[in-house]
Amino acid sequence: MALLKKGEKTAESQELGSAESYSGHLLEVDNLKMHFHTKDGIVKAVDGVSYTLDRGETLGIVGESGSGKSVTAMTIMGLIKMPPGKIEGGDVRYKGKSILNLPEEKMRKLRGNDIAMIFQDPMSSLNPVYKIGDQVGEGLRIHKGYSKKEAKEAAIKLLDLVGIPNPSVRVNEYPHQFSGGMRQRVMIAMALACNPDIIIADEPTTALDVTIQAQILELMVEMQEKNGNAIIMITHDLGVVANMADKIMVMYAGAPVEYGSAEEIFYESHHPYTWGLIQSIPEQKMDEKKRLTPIKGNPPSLVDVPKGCSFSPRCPYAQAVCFDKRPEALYVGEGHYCTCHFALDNDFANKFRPKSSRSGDTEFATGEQEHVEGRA
Amino acid sequence: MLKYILKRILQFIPVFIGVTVILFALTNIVPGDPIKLIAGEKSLAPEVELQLRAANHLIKVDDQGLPIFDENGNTIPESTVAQYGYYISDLLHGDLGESYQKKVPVLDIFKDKYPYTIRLAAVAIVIEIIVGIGAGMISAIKRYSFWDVLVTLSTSILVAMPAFWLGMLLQLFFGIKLKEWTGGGFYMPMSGAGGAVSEFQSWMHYILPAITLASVSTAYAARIMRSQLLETLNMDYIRTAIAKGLNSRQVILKHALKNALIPVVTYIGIDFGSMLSGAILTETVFNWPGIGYEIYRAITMRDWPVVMGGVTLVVVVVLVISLIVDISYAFLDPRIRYGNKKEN
Ligand SMILES: Nc1ncnc2c1ncn2[C@@H]1O[C@H](COP(=O)(O)OP(=O)(O)OP(=O)(O)O)[C@@H](O)[C@H]1O
Ligand code: SF4
Ligand SMILES: [Mg+2]
Repeated sequence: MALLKKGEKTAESQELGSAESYSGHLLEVDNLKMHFHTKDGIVKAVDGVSYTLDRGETLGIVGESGSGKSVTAMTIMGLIKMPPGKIEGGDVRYKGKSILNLPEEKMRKLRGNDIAMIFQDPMSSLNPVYKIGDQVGEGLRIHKGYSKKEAKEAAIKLLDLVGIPNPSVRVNEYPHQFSGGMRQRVMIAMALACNPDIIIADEPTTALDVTIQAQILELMVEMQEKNGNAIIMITHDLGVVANMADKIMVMYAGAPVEYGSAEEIFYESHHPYTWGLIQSIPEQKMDEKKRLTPIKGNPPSLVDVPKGCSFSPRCPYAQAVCFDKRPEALYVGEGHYCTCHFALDNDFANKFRPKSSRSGDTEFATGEQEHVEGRA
Repeated sequence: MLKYILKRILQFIPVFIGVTVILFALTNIVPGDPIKLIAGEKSLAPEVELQLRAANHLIKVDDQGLPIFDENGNTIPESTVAQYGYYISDLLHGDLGESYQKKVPVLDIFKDKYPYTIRLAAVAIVIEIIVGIGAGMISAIKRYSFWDVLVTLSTSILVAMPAFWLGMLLQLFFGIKLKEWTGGGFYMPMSGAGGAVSEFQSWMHYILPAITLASVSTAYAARIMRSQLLETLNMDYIRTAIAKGLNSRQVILKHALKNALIPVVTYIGIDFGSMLSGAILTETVFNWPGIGYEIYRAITMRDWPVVMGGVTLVVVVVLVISLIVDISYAFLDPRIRYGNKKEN
């Protein structure tokens, strides 16, 4: 991005090793567990999440409401209040160094600067009493030592970058003068400000109407191409990440049930819950009058997760073993795991896996293919 | 914004008319001949009484201000409506009439008394702002700590305690007991606003009455501040600010405080208006020469011109203060910048 020249990073991020010198994964989440100790019991909001993220990559985290997606993201950012939250195990490594136990002061240098976050509700995520420009430029002021004037100029450029018309005027306006879609663009500009390595977007389009949703997603992809930042895209709608994610983690009841490349998730998935999600993606093509198949039932209470497979009460293929024994993560391919007792049973998958869930969506298939090869 | 202010000032007119009508009606309903009140114990010569009645617009007069008589040689009582007309016209000319008892223009009385009320209110409001907002902030930031408990407890006590009683307790401890304990070496003035004969620096007279006047509203201000700040700290935009990498001082002072202050400023502003209307209880307990005490005196003595003038003055002050509060509200909260169009 034009605002920052290469190498213009803070001392802290150099301390953590610059991307050029560090060859491992940009971000590694390793068996992370975040539990909340409440008076109703222990809420196992995140219970063993693992994934890796590389530069320029997009990871989609998909799951129903309450599956622990936000808590995972907030744990990485160090935004969970502890107590009631408590890290019960696992690690988060940014450029190879654990950031889970980083002192607050160092963590602050990371927030917004190296890892930025976009929140679900753009209407309430901006401070109503401060000018848009001040809010967008604030990160640059605290992390990069910009003067007020420099920050404002940078904010104008950023607003222009995210497609806000007339940025030099709008920079002086207040959030209430912006529509929902425009506010989410502001949030993106704010996240981009310090040129972070990772942008975590927690359901950035959920509060927006469909046409605006597509624009925002497009913008995020465009910005990623320009800046090379990695994205963690959190959503409850598999359709949202279909066209942009390289890897997808499907979460259920605080834990991943399947993790793999986007193609693997869409075409070679092994978990019945993933199948359920695929069948509940609304078909964009109207000619095929395909029925939406919702997943029946509700996710379990995170205080009292079923003894065996957490999905067993709702799984149409559940067997006796499912209610008894918790399935391990089984690798069905390189970097593709699935926590189902029948993950390695190809007959099971071939028999029940929905037939080419996104048939006709050739754009997805080819586009994604190129993308993957291009990076490899 | 300018249009809004103008509109608000125009809205003063019906309020003003309403208040004057009520005041006028009240003083007319209350039994007692005003001339008797003016005269007090003395009996008046008939000519003097006639003059007084003419001057007070109780009977019809001609161009020279001389009474008009009917064919029987009796005076003609002025109609109530016309009396109100005279009252309003005098009022608009800045003539609030003359005190029945003191025999001086009401305006002069208030010119004399008002500065004491204003200064007392100013000191009290400074206490309220500093102590109220400060205690509320500490209480919210250090939630459930010793300080929070202390603030919550003391505000509950203050709110429950009648102000005049607090005033008397303060007088007892800082005026009387402290004097005894220190053998007269140190104590606080208990009454009045100083003066040539006073042995105290004049500002010292303000301390006890100002604390008394500020007590209840400081407690409320602290409570509002606490709850507002706690509420604000739970907002999504606070999370955004933290995610940006701000430290907690920046988060609280830059992002939370301004939002949390909006209702507090409104409360304190309106409270300032009521303090400027004269605190009858505090001024009475401390024998304070302000307008509250003066209005209280006037009511007990049925000195109607002083009551009417005082109340009118107070109404105008309250209206102006509430306008200022509204304007500052808009200054703090851009969402209600009056007259701004919503765009996009
Ligand atoms: N501070 C907290 N105390 C107790 N429980 C919490 C707390 N924060 C989150 N939880 C619980 O953690 C679980 C996971 O919440 P999370 O917000 O991560 O879900 P999500 O997957 O993001 O859902 P959504 O799609 O609705 O955003 C929920 O059951 C929630 O009730
Ligand atoms: S382990 Fe059993 S219950 Fe769980 S998803 Fe697999 S088949 Fe369904
Ligand atoms: Mg969420």
